[in-house]
Amino acid sequence: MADFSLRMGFAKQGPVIWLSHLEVVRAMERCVRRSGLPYAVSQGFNPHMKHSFTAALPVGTGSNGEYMELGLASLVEPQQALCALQAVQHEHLPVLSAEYAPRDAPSLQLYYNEAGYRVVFAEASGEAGCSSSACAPECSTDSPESQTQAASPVEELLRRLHTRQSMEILKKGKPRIYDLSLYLTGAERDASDPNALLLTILSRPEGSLRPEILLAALSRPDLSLKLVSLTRVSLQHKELA
Amino acid sequence: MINPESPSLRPRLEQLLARVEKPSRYIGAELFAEKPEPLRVEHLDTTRPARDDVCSPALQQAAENLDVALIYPDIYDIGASNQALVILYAVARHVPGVGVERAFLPWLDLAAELRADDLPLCSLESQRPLRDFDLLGITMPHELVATNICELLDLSGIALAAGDRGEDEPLVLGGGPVANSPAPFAAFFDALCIGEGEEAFAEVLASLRETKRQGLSRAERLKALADIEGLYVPSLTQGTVRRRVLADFASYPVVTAPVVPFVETIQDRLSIEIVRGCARGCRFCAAGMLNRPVRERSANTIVAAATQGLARTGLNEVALSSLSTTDHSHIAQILRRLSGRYDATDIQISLPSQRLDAFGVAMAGVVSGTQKKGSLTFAPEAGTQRLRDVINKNVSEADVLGALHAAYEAGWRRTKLYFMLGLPTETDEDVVAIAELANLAYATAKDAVPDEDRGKVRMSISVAVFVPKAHTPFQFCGQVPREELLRRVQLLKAARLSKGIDLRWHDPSASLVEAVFSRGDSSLAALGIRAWELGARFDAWSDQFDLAIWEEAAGELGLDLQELASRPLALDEALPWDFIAGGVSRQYLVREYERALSSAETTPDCTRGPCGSCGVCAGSVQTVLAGARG
Repeated sequence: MADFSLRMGFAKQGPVIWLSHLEVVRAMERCVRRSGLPYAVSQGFNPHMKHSFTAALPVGTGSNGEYMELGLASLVEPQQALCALQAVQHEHLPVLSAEYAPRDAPSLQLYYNEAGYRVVFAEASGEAGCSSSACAPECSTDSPESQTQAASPVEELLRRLHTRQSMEILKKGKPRIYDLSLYLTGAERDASDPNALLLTILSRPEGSLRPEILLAALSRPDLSLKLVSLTRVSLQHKELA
Repeated sequence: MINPESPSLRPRLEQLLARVEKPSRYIGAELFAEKPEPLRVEHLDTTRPARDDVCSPALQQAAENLDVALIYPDIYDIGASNQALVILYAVARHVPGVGVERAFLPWLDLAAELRADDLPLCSLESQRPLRDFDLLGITMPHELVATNICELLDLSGIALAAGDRGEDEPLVLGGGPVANSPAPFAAFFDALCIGEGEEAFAEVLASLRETKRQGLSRAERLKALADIEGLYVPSLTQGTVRRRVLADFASYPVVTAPVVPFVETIQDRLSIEIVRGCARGCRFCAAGMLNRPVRERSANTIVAAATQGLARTGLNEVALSSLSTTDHSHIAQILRRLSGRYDATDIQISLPSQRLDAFGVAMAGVVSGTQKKGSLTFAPEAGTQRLRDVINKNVSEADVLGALHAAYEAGWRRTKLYFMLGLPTETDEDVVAIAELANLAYATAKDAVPDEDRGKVRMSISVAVFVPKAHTPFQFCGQVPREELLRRVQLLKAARLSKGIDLRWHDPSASLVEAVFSRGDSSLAALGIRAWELGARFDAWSDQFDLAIWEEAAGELGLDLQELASRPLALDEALPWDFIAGGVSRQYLVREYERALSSAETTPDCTRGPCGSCGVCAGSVQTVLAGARG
């Protein structure tokens, strides 16, 4: 990186959750250019802004706290940099914080290897959850008893998150087995909402697991859960054993 | 403020996004997009009984506001950076009492989802149904647009034919390059704006806002539009329609805060139009014939607009756009000033194409810095001097080779050469000469580079098919039949091109349909509708175009596509676009046609030589140069 590494925290919210990682990167680069900060550019062949980002968010996933590390060619007070960025930020990609990273700090992607996600599902009953014909068997019953007695689909999913040892997904046509104990480090109910779960997923040097793929794999074939939103709520560092 | 009777469908549309490719096309919310505020119910005092004689001011205002959607009839990635849309969006937001939004055609996947869910096509900003708007403005960038117009009207739940629309349906206004020969498309539109839209569109909006306020009927609103210069109202207009030309282009404000797309669009950069019009007089070129006279912005205006636009948008590239950018009389100064400012930054300055001489290459060198990484593009158009003279491309073989030598000597290693196949009077000799010129150019390029770089020399040859266009001297020429064009392609492929030259050619099938529409009459609307009914969409996409559908549609209607495209027109024949006035005169077109075909005599550029009497300069509309052209 350049002489000074400004670590900017930002969120991805509202309609822009549908942006791809590359589109987020481009939008943040434009915010930096608009801010007038003295950003560093690479030398030579094709000068480009020096920066790095935390691990890519899937399309359709929001975040309350991403990081971008920006190389600056000269020192700007962090508070002043934050003000300059906030003055020109996109309303749905707000810059939340700015501070200098220590000189020997590891890269963002290596450091922030554990992410918390909040998943919200549609109400188990009601039309929102029943728009696809696949869920007809669960939802066709009108009996209130059957719904209160049986575990709700969210509860059943949580049980599977706690008990399943592994899952298999197809990657480029080839089956790949994930040992869930290595990747899934937490799964609990969100106390504020019966239809929401909190997941913690660890990314490892040998691979990472995307939350929406995990949820889809564990819901198959019988759970009819309709995802309302998926948000990365935290990023933290975890020492790998 | 938006009309409360037209709620946003955003929540329902969002549910579809997870199922489609590239959902970011459909979200809007870009920097500098309009943010229509929904009229919130809390604003209305519901505790008091409604009184007919008192209307809330907010409601009143929302009801009187003119709701306008500007539409590009292709996907967002293609249309979002279209300059007509950028300019007219800026025009509309400055007209009081007008709310403007944009819309694009969804890709096939979302279109299918919308139909399956019975959802109408919506605007991007507020995601309200297009059929709830007062006015839809559709720009027509090329002749293959008919099926996409049908698709977007149908997805919106609006009658395809203007004559079938009810009082409550929006007025549909057409514009853009294709509107200069509007007959094949007139049936889709309540009105068309012919020529440059800046002033005419503002007048249209002011008129419609007023006639809406007065509560006038559709017919009366259209009657008011027909009085605006440049407006063609198919149901009312009798006689000629005069193209609008922006006489004061030089001082007309430049858009420096355009919407900044999240999606990487085909023109993913700030665009500053530095010259409007081109007087080089290539006889096949509709843009060059129609957008006259030449009007340059001043160097100061251009540099200020580029600088301000880059600072506001945060984009990393600015294109100095025009039909022939390096013809600007102060281009060297402009490029020097901009490259001085952005040297050693990650911001690039780009020129759309290079003039075919050493000066053009020198100008490209000013903005490329030390690294000549990209490819330079040149357009000799034809392989022999005879044919270049026929088309009035005033470029010699020495110019072509000189430009290429200069480019490779300066450090570029890749160039692209554009040619046309099927130009009037073309012989097999002309076709083979394309390969010969390319080989000479390639040898020149190899000679121009140091020995160790000879293996890096690349060149590509792109061959398009000549399409006769209305309002050009070659409008009278038929298109070479498709089978014959395919034979000529084979002839070119058989001519030995040096290894290292990459040959690409356009499928003549799409050019056939293009030619049919470019000189077509009003009977073609039915052809477009029938092709759409049979499944044609996105005909400008080579992987979507299907000639079989068009042939089937034409067969059903008793039309012969090849006959329509290939028929030469008599010089005194009445033409479907004769009623569009204000461009170059018919006498000029005939004179140029005769010069081309009888003697291959060239006509000089009037910004550098004598007036060619094209008939455009009259009254307030004159050539405007920022200085003397070299």
